[in-house]
Amino acid sequence: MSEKGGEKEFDFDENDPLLGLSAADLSGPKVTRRTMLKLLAATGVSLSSLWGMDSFVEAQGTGGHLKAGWLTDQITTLDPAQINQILQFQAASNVFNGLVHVDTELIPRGDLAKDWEVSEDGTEWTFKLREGVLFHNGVEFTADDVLFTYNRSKDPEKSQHAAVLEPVEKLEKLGKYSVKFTLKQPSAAFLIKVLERTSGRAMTIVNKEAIEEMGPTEYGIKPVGTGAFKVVEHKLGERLVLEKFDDYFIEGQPKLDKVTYFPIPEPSTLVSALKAGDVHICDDIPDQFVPQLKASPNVEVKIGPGPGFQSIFMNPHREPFTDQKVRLAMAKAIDRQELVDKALFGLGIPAYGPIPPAQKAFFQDLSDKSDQAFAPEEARQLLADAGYSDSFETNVICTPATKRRTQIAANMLKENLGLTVNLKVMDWTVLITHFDNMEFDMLQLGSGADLDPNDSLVDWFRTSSKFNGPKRPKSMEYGFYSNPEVDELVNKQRTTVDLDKRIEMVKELNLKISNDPAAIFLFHPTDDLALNKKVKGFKFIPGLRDLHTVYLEE
Amino acid sequence: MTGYIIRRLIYGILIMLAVTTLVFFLIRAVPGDPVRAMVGFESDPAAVQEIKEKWGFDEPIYVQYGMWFWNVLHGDLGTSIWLKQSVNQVLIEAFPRSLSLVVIAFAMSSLIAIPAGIISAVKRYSLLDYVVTFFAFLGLSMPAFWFGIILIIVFASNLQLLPAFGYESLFENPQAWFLHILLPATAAGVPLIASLSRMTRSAVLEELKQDYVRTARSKGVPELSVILKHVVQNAAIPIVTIMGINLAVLFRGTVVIENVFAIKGLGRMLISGAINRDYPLLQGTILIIAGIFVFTNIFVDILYTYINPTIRYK
Repeated sequence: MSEKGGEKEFDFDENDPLLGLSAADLSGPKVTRRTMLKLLAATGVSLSSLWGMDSFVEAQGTGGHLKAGWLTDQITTLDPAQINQILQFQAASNVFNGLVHVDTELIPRGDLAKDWEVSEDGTEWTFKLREGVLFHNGVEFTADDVLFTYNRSKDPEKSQHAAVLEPVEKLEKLGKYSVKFTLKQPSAAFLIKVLERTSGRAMTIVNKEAIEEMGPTEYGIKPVGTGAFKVVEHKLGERLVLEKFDDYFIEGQPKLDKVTYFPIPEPSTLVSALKAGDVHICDDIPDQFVPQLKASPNVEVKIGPGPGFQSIFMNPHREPFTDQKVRLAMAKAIDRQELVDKALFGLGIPAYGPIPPAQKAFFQDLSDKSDQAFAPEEARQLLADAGYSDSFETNVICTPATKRRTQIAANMLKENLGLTVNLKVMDWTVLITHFDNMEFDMLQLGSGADLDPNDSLVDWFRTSSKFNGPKRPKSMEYGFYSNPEVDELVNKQRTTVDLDKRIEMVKELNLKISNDPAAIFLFHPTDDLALNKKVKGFKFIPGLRDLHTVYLEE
Repeated sequence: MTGYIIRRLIYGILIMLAVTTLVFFLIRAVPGDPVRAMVGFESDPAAVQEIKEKWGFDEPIYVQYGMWFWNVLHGDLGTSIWLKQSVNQVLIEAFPRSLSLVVIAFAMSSLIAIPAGIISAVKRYSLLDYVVTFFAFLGLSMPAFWFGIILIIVFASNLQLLPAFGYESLFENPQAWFLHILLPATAAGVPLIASLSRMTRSAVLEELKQDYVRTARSKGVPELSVILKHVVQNAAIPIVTIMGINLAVLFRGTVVIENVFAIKGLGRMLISGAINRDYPLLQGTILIIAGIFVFTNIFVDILYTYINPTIRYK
């Protein structure tokens, strides 16, 4: 695949690395303890204080009817092939299984796969499947279901995630409980990005009989999986009712008898319902409601690092952002901590690059290393050096939801550099068209659900990245960013087997993307969750709401 | 009269068509892409193209309009892009929810406003009159959105007397239905009390000045009978007019209330259709709401002839 403007740009690159891990490290049933320790030891910042440690205590009780409030007008689909919202897979993860699933440290572990082996060259992945696993309709799960799911998911007519399977050369059935994936090139992010229960979606195992019986639309509403809970009722936009699946393959799970999801579009209503005990758990809470929920005697608030970044992109094809000095000056004029405090009520982690703290192994605090670090004097000097001693006027595009943070950033640019930055507030669907077409001066956007460094490095910051101006005019050679050194290093880190070396490279990349500013990095969002205090045994996986170990205390 | 009704019905249908045609083209003039809204950010270009073809979005706009219009004539409002369900089915489910809300809110506001208006007319400039006026305007001044949230905080969150959100079926569980509908109906109905009670007050006052009232009183008709039998009946025309307007206003108000109380009614569908650029859903919902407005008007006009037989339509 060519680096510039190639047609076939996907989540995967042919020379995707083994996450810097050797084949032995990556063989199942979970990534080895040594790998995990290495990953943990490499963590730059201790985040344990951010997490409610009680969430890791093994649950003792059982039973209950949990009511969940999801901040949305409906859970439109639960069919893995069609899922495109985090809130959808947060629910679907309780109904389905993948071959692997991440744990609280974002380490992939066996789910429907009992064990697996990787060939030395990293292209052949042989999985042993769990035996005796049943779907909710009583059909036994076998290798045929893996094949059916694979064939369905790679068909763009039936699945939105066909591109995810592009790196797979073929899938073979070796026996009733054994399959082998052959990849076109080695790919370590394979486990997380293709096979993982939720983020992959492409290989979340679906049931052939049920799809044929119901048709794909009905299957999206009341799907049949192998998961801990089965769907018993789904009134779109009103309620989704799950019941305990008695034949679930993990002994003692799930603990709850019943779960009802209520879609609630208005955040004030959701917050009141949490305080009243009408709902016990939510998918997300807007930052401004966190203080009052913390004060509520019924509610416990958990704040974890979220896997993503938020930033303001600058169009390097438009004056004055054609000058790298100007872009850097803009980035230096933002006081991140103040922005987090004012815009997010303190619920965010200042960002200077794309790699989020949830990727514990790869994250590094850049606050005193990055050239983007807040320094208003230097910023003014840079702007003067670039010949912009007079203030200029420019525009920034944002959505109604991101208006507050964008306005605060604009105010900082006014205060520190004397610039007039006008906000242009647009619906998301409109904003994204401007972004794709490179029709903006500045634009506030970011990434979520980044479980692996490649989610940002590969998808956003290479010259040929899929988000890097995909519909730009032909006259533009690249979208919002192009740095040959970055392109080269992204490729290099993908082919580096030694984990420590890969971590160093990712850190170096993070700093390069920060110093030759690809964007003004603002913050890494936190994953905010409110639980009723009766809810026990919840395991907090960043970005997920798995209920397998949860029970209600009466 | 029959001729008049038929004419009004034909006009009504033409108005509905004009409204939906306008919406059809306006929504397409607004920037934003329904397919992008549906498949999300990290979408596969092949999948996007697939969907565009499936929904006919690659056809010229007049072809799309023609196809839509033809299907509407056959009673088919199309398939919602976002919900992947038939719009007919979605609206059949949504309508009873909005209707429950509107009927209860309408009954509540009318049952409070009309007696309150009569009392403040009869006891004009009394303390009671001022109290009624004060509360009527308090209700009018509160935005339904804000009032709804206050009701939830007080009655659901703090007192824990009523559910904070949601809807239950009337036929499956009437008690739960009523408890769930009470707060949203209050939020929707209370702001309407002001206009209706003020209109009742002035209409009743107007009638009280009439000669026939003096006649009735002087021939010894009891005061209660004078008010209820003579005055209110004669004051009914403006009251019924405002009630008709209120009914339409309530359907419009569902847009806000249903969102606050997480009820999947017509208002929610309207918002969902607009935000997600779900053209078929938006067009279908607008068609139904336009129909409600038009037919409420016709109904009120016909009602006039029963209230006041001197009114004749040709």
